[in-house]
Amino acid sequence: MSRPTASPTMPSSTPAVAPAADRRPPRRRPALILFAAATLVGVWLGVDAPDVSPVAPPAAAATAPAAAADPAPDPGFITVPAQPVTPGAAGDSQPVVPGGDTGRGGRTRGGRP
Amino acid sequence: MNSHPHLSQHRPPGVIRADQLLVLIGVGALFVATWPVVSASPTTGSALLGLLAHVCGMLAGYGVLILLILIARVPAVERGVGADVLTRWHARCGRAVLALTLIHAWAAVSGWAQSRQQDWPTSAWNVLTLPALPAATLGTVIMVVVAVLSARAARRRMRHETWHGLHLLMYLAIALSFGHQLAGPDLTGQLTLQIGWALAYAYVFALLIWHRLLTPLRQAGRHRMRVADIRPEGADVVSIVVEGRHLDELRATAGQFFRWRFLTPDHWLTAHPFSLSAPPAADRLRLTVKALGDGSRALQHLPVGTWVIAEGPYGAVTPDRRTRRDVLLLAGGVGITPMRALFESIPLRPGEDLLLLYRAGSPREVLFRDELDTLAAVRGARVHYVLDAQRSLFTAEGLVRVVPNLRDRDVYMCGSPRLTATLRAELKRAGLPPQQLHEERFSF
Repeated sequence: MSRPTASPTMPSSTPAVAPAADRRPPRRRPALILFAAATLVGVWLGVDAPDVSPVAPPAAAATAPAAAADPAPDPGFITVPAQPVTPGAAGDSQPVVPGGDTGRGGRTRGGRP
Repeated sequence: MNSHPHLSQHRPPGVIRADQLLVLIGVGALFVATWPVVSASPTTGSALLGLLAHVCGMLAGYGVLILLILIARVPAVERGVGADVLTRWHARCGRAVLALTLIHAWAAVSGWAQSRQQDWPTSAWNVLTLPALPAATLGTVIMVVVAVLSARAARRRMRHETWHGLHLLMYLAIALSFGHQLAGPDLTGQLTLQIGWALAYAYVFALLIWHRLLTPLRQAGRHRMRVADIRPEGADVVSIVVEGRHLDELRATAGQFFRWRFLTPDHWLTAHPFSLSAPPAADRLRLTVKALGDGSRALQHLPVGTWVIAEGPYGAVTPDRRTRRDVLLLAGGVGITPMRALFESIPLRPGEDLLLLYRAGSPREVLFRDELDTLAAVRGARVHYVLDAQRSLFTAEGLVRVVPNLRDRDVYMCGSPRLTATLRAELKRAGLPPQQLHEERFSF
């Protein structure tokens, strides 16, 4: 990095480089505060986001009360044939919608009866 | 070989190069585009449309982040990539985001129509009435309007200030669509991803606030810049000398530019990018302005004492880019301003050659003639004024004739887009390796 230099064509009344004692120390605190605020806002927005996508349309053929209460998968997924659960999922013999298991506790993306 | 100990072969530390930034952007895009694919197994036509909608939607949301990063004026990126390149990438990325958003909308509605056996208008209405969709749609409409007005033909017909004000509506468009992004099927149910996505947006907005709002305000308070002098340099050209305190802390160098905001009723809303026309001093900076539009014409009559906020410094065409002992500076018209500063400050040791070729329409249009002649004499450098009669000098043959070792020099260039396009082609034809050409492309 080249330093500011005294110019023969633009005279300066002060030294080109200020003495070290006059230098302002770098201010990190405002940056840290902004970083912390952004983190809080980001986490809050993420946690507050919906568990179930409102974009998923209601199931056309949903008649049972439980099915009608759950949002159906969005158009990209509703025509996928249901697949049986693998033997590893013992005790649960119901079909599942691919992608319906979110891995997020009991929150599902839709369609799981 | 012209290697020399004081010449850098690499960029200074602490900057992000264009190739590094592109790799980072590409890796992020790959992850974002892949996620909807691995999280679903579509097998039918409508599912494929849904997948297309998801991939385009995710990429559009990611593209908005990249758009914002490119204009966040992060010094490490500005210095490593260059403001002109970032601006061009921003424009391209904006077009890509718009296209992805429109494909996303079309594919989502079409997927809905196919899966539910509805006609397209009914499906569009059903989709539009879903939660968060009206706001996202309004955001998309704003995006389309701003994009249309940003097209070159439309932009030429409106004042820069008007266009800039309209461009700020993009922030509203982004805010309106953000709820739909977080509630999209690819993120819902994935708490980690939702938090990560929201954090990415929060951090990028923090970058914008830091570098585009807080830093200029802090610099204004610290440096207290004011217009100290306005000097005519030629027809419709003035130099504005700005005085301030502790300006060395800005660590500006010759070849760089600031975005200057002059605090008068007519100018405070707009930041004008102008290069330094002299190396920066600890208490003053100088810019030179040619009246090319309403804004730059009005700047010629700024009152002395006007308060100034300077954002910057920006720009990567600095002496740090130099890799060869000998240097050629090429300037055209008012593009002399950064070259004038470099002509004074590029390090020059015994045996090294510094040559400035300065193209001007007529002797009256030559700026800084006395200064350039003085600097040439003091530094042992050379300057040639290339007027209309000698225009053949700016061809490959002419350049090699004047500069026989052209291929073994660094070339710094600034001028009108037309002139620099011609020179770029001629330099290539003359055999100059592209990495030895340093320029930032701006319209005047």
